[in-house]
Amino acid sequence: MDEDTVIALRNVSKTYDIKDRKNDTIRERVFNAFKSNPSRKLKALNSINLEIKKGEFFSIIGRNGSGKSTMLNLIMGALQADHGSEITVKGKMIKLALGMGFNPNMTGRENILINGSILGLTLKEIKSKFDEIIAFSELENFADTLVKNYSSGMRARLTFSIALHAKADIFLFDEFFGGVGDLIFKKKSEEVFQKSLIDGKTIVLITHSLDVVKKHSDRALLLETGNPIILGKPSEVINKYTELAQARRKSRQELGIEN
Amino acid sequence: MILNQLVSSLENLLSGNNRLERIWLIAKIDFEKRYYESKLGLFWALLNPLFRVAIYYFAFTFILNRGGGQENFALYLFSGIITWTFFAQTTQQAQNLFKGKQYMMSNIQFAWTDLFISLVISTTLGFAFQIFAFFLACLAVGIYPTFTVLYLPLLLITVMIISLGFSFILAIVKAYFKDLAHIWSLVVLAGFWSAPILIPESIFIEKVPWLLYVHPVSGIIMNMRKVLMYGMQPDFLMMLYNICYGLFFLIIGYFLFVKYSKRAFDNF
Repeated sequence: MDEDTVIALRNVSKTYDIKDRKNDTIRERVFNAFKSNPSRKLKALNSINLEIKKGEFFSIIGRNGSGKSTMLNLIMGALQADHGSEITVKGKMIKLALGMGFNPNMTGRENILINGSILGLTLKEIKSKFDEIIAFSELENFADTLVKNYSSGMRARLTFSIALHAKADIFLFDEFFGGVGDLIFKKKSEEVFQKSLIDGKTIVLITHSLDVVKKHSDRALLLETGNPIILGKPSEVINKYTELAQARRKSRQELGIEN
Repeated sequence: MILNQLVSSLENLLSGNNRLERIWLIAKIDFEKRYYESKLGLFWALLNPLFRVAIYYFAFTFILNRGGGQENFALYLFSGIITWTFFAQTTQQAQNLFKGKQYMMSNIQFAWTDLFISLVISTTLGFAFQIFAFFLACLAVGIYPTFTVLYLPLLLITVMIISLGFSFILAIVKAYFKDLAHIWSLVVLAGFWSAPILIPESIFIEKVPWLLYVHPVSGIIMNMRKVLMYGMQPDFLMMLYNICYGLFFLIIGYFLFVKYSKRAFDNF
């Protein structure tokens, strides 16, 4: 692994075992001990090889179910990859997904304390940055409100704000900007992508917004049913993506599914 | 007030060490969530064991006319109940840990084992409060603590180790068997009735001495009473056995956890 490679995937695959009959209670295991339970293998990711460098802005695009989120979860370490896969990560990561990362039954303040602490800040540091975090996320009047009463935009702002003020080196964005609907925040986040805030930090972005990919990424990867189709310059990858989408539409039209 | 001072001095002690701070923070907030949401607050931590003591005391002393052989039967019950509850409560909550903490585990990187340590510490906070009430009750009936009370931390640590070990195991098993909670609640019930909590110690030792070595906290309950109520030295051999028992399950649990914890989310 190179000196400046922070994420390296070597031959990474992920197979989900989908059982036709759910067999996850002791009762069922006992009663169905001698019955066969056919299972289907669903290959969510197929031998991915990838190296992401420090400070790189990397985008992953693909249709729903193409394995994008599985890939982020594998990088994150929340899922176990298949045998023979090799995942190496250098640095502290945080995954930003809408509404995730928070306990809805805790207040914004408590969530900031816990998440900040998990991200490596000491209590003293969190307390000194607290006002800044709240101000950036524009939640001055809601710090002691339960997060379950936040709007999705408020949650997104808070997640992002904590992540920025903590010592994360790698940001994994999982559809983070989709559906926020808050134009001001969208603009703010786009500013963040350009500015010094993310300088030297590595970003892996999953998005359906091709504009963001084109505008900010250094490289992009197109996934299709778990297979890497093309890895390279954002413009080339986006072209391939739209090409595939058009081909699909055409074939469906020919079959008369779509008019 | 004393509690607040203790807490703030503990926080000063931990400050700077990110990992310890985090474990403490999660334990504290979990504890507060459990008890402080309501007006009665910490009183709930006491209400449950006290209520149970009252019921069993009533049933055994007034109705069945038993328990007379035990001096201070209420305190005898109380010490057994809070020790057993420590184990039962921790292991029951551990089963929901993956589900309850998924929002953290799948989005931020940290050692997942910290959550289990936090869980045990959060139970310990409640236990500390119960022990405090226990001492007050002892004073009220004229039992004054002797220096043997100093063995209490050692016994407490043993319960913590045993609970932690079982917690790891149960959290992993729960990922594969969704109905574990039902079965475990039966185990907890059996564990309660097969321990020297209601059963007088002398009868327990006479009838089922081997249970002392199988049951996770029986030996500890008896040692608790020795050092807290009777002012006696603990049974050191039993103490050593309990520690080894705890470490055995802790090691097994830890390795199970390391091996299977990442696969657990596949099953949710």
